[in-house]
Amino acid sequence: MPERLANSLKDHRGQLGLTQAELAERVGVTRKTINTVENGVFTPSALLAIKLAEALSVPVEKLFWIER
Amino acid sequence: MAETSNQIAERLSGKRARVLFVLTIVFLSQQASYFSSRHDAASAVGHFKIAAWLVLSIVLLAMLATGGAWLRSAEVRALLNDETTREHRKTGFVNGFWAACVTAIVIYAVDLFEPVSGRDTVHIILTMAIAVAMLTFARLERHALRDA
Repeated sequence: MPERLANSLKDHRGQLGLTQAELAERVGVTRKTINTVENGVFTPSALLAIKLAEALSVPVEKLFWIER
Repeated sequence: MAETSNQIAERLSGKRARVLFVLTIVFLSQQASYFSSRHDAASAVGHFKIAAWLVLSIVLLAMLATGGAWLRSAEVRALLNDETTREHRKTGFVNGFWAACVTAIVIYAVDLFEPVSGRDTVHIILTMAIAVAMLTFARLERHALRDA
């Protein structure tokens, strides 16, 4: 079975009461990128993953994990 | 209230996807018109059509390579070229490369039975590469924007 990078971006974003647009602004990307990452359509780079983790104050390994 | 850079980028991103799609259709229609009246190639009209194709090819390639919005601020342009967009562009270029290869193989095979001039070969390969790259990019962008 192929491996994929799963994430809990939506949950953590929701806990902080942030919209996709607000999170996008915090990490310097567009809402489109946040949406595609949340939906698993786009696998972010390590740089963006760390920026997202920082913006949500969550360790990166809690935000992203490998699903087998 | 003034729009933020993110809001401007969001709006321009949608506009770019729509414009690129329409421009590609215009580009392909232009080529259909050119090849349906090839006897004009040496005339002034033929030269105009070739020049129009060349100019549009360069504009489309420049838009695809840079993301467009050349008159906008560096911040907006950076947002317009964020990670997803760069990935979509990369996929567009890969598909364009394959389209060029397949088109070259087809022309090579056709040339065995009916000679195809060097100019026409370049014209067709470049047109196919650009059109496929642009359509791929525009489709991926529109899809990502629609879901957002």
